[in-house]
Amino acid sequence: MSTCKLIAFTLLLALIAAPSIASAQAPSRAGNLTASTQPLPHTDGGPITKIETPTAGEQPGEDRWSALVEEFNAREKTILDTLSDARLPTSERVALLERLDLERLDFCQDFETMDSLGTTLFISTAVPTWKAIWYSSKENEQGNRPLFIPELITLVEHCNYSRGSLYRAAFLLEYMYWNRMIDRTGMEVADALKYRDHFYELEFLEIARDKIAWARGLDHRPPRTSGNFFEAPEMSLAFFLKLFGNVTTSFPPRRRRAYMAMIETINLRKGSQLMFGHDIATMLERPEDLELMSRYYAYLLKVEQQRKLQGVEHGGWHTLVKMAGGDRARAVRVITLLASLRGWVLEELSDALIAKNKLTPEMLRAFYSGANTYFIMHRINERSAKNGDDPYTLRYHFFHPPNFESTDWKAYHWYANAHLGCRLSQKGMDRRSATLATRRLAQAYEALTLNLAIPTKRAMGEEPRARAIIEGWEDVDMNAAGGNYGWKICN
Amino acid sequence: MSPKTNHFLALLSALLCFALPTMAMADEPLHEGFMVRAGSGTQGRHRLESSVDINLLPLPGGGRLNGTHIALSLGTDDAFDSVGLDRAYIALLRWPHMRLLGVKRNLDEGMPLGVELGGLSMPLALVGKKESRNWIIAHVGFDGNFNWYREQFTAVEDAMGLGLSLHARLDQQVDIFERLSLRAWQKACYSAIFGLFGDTPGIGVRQQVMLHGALGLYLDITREPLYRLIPRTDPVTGEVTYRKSVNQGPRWRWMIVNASGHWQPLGYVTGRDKLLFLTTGIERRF
Repeated sequence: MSTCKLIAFTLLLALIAAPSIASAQAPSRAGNLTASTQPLPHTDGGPITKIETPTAGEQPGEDRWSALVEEFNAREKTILDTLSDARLPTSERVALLERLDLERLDFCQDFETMDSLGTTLFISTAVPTWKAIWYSSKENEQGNRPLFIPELITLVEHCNYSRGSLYRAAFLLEYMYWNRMIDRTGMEVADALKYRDHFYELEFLEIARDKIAWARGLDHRPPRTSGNFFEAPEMSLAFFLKLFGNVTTSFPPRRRRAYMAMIETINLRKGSQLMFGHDIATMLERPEDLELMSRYYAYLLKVEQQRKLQGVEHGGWHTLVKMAGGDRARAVRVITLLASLRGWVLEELSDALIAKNKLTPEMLRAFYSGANTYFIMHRINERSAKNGDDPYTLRYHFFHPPNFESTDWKAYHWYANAHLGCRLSQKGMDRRSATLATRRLAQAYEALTLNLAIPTKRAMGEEPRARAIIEGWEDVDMNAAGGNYGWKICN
Repeated sequence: MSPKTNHFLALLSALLCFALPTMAMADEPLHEGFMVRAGSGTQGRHRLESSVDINLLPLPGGGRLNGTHIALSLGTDDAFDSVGLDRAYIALLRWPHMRLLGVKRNLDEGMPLGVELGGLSMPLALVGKKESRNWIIAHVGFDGNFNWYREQFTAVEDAMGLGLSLHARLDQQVDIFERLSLRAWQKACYSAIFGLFGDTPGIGVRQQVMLHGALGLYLDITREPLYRLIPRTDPVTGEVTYRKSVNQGPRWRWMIVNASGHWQPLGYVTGRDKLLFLTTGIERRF
């Protein structure tokens, strides 16, 4: 009995003491990890106080900005023509607008801050909008709603292509893609994604032109970001990620060092969607990286047009590495820093650079190319994938190196973790510790995002529990595979 | 109370059980929706159990959060002269990896009333693919409760105290045929209970190890096909092929049989150390 009591008391004490021990340790570690207070051998933490760009102090000529605006205008015309071909006929348009209460849905309303974009991820804003539009759309005998996309186009047009309406329309289709129900629009997955990508691209074009106006000193909208990406302090979420690392990777010590070095590299900043702050600042000093992003996006547009190119195994990877001069680490870095962060680089980094009078047309073109690359990669991935061994899965290969395929479409997870693995290798971490660090972070991330996945899947009528967990764990494996590969190419 | 009154109350409760609707135990947190079932156990109780997951918690921007769980189980003996609420569990939030603020009652464990403070667990997908209905998922976690135990409900002694539990759980789902599936789960739970026990003066400690498990056979009776076909055009040949995808909405299933039970190899609180319960019923769940 006394032994039992001892075990029980030990258990109780452990449960009570664990959080306090962790919280007592964490602040000092957080202090150590801030480069501005006490640099470690690697210096990825903390604010960036100095940004060197090749064109510092040099104002880009008006003709370079004008050429970019013309390029963007031409692209916009192409997309608008495509969309107008797919919208509803006039008679059905009126009926749709009568049926939906757009004011209540806030469909046209612009977002005033990037934070509002973030909250759109949450069930309370996006899903009610989706439900209102989806369930009012006519269902055919196959259970599909083929008018859903034409209706979205009509709504966006009705909102005069406001940024808010473009983002909402794109995001609703994206939600469906995430939840594996975009085929319910009656289109092949990649064809439906094309419309999502057109909506996003129109939004990016608006953002990009607005940044150009601001950079040229012309009238522009108020920026939606604080513009202090480089100076922002560490995000409080980093504390919890470090705490998780302390608990799960504390032994042997090299595992914890690798995990903490990884959190430093990710460099989360308060009020910012961006990551990898120091790596981005370093990349701005490399015009060849920015140029690679723009060239690679042009290549992907060509792949989209030429179906034969989509059939080439690992074609996207081989071309990327070739364009990067055979430097795989560079290939991974460019996709991670410019494309895997969606449109956040385009908006947030542009604002931060304009505030310092350092934005150039070449940078903006690269940011715009990166934002679109994130999305077009999904589309090409879907088209090029091979049927898996079972009746359900696809094997995605196009953007991965030889000998690696995945049933997980999220190539951007693989790239981001390959970059992390590479950086950990450069910081002297061993392969097992580096891979484990990426795996642990992925587990923390997936466990956190279950809190979003469960209610959103439920609200969209999808299985909300087992599948969210299974999908999360596929992502964890994908991340760890990326971390492992990245370590190897940089060792 | 007269037997007539008892029968009337049983009927009323059963109707309420359907109308509310509700459920028995948090035994399948990976399935969400409505379930009703009836059956008998080795302790000589016959039960009507029902559960439902509802969207209750309001969200700041509008809409409601899913995962509020209500479960009730009405029991009676062979003579129908002891009708009562054998088990109940109402949780503000019950997701697979997180539970928050619940009230529970489980007379099989000698507990007329308990408060679940909360719990967290880490899910691990051991087997499973996104588009398949066959999977094995493990959970490891902990939770905290404040429970009352009473001798009159098979507890070893009257007690009340704070319980801290560590648990490990395995959930499996396998399709035997396209619409016939087998579901099972096993859970091992170690609890340390700190509180007042019987006539013992001062605060004491008791420990308990419980093994729970269930095995059920489910037949999908929804009219909508279980799968749909997604077309894909080969980029090189132009040939159209199809992939299967699960139609994932809530589905009607006949629970042909479900056997659940517990075994308490180490315990100082609950007197009923072994229990087997057989039920049949119907569900509309994800």
